Amino acid sequence: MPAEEIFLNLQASFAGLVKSEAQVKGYPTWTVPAQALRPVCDRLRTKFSFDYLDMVTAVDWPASAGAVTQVAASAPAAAPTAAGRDVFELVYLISALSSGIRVCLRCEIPRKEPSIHSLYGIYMAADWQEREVYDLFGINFEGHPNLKRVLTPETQQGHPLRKDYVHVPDSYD
Amino acid sequence: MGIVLDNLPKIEALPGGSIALATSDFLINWSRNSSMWPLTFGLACCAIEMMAAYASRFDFERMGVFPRPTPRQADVMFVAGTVAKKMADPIIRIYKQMPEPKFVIAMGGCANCGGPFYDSYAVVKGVDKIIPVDVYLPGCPPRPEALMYAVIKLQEKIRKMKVKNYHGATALQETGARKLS
Repeated sequence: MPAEEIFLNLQASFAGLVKSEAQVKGYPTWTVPAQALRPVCDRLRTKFSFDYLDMVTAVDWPASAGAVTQVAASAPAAAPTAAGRDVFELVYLISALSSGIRVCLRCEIPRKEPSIHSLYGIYMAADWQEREVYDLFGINFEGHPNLKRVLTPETQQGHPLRKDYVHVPDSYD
Repeated sequence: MGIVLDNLPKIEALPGGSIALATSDFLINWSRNSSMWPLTFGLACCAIEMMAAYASRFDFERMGVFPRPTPRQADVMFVAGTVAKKMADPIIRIYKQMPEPKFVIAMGGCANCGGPFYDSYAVVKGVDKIIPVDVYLPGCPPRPEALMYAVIKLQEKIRKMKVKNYHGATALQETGARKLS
């Protein structure tokens, strides 16, 4: 089944699921409402045999002026402008190995107390991937069984890939 | 196969050839710097150059440098690569497991001072912040010849060690750089 048909099928069930303006490397890129992410992935897995979670990552779009101008200047023209959004954008790459289709799902969550449903249970690969996103961005994945830091040491203060991260010198500095 | 005593200036062979005299410092240092066994231990791309130095083209073993899989048998630690903060505690731990006298070569810019990661949140800016270092080897990464040169420099350092003065430790270790965090 081509990606277009899958998109129409999903759109019929989930209001707010639209194609994104910015395409990721030519993959079909869809914007999903945050509360619909887990049911969308569940249907992709069970009905359309999307059985492989390639990647989970996040992008920080802060509202503060200083950080935003820096980001907007370096971002490509096709990317949505960041001014005043104040969101975390989560990016998921999901593949169907049997048919060779790979889709990119994006969803935005507010930057204040960011939280989203975990994909653990649908994709086991989400375990460490979501731990990494939690470690570097501080996004809370609800329902994750073991959400703790994976890359940085336990003594790390704050979440380093946030644009407003300020490094606190530790015992090794 | 015997030892060619004529090539060793500090050993004096008595007539007849069955007795030779040497100072204990010379004999101990000679054996130490002829069999410096490093720990098999690599952290980043410098480890590739270190492995090349062990392999047949450069053949470290002709200098007595023979990698050991356990810190209990190792004399030298090549810190070959970037020291992440998460790796700092294991490095201190295996350093403490090595028997005295022990030596450290900081290989590459990252192990010297952090290198390209000088302002990173996750990298220790130089392995000398956590363990004492005997030889600093710059380069990114240093070639195997450079690592050999560092080993030769360390051998020169070992030759100057005195059992009486330093109790088997290097001068750096003796003056208190051993305060580990």
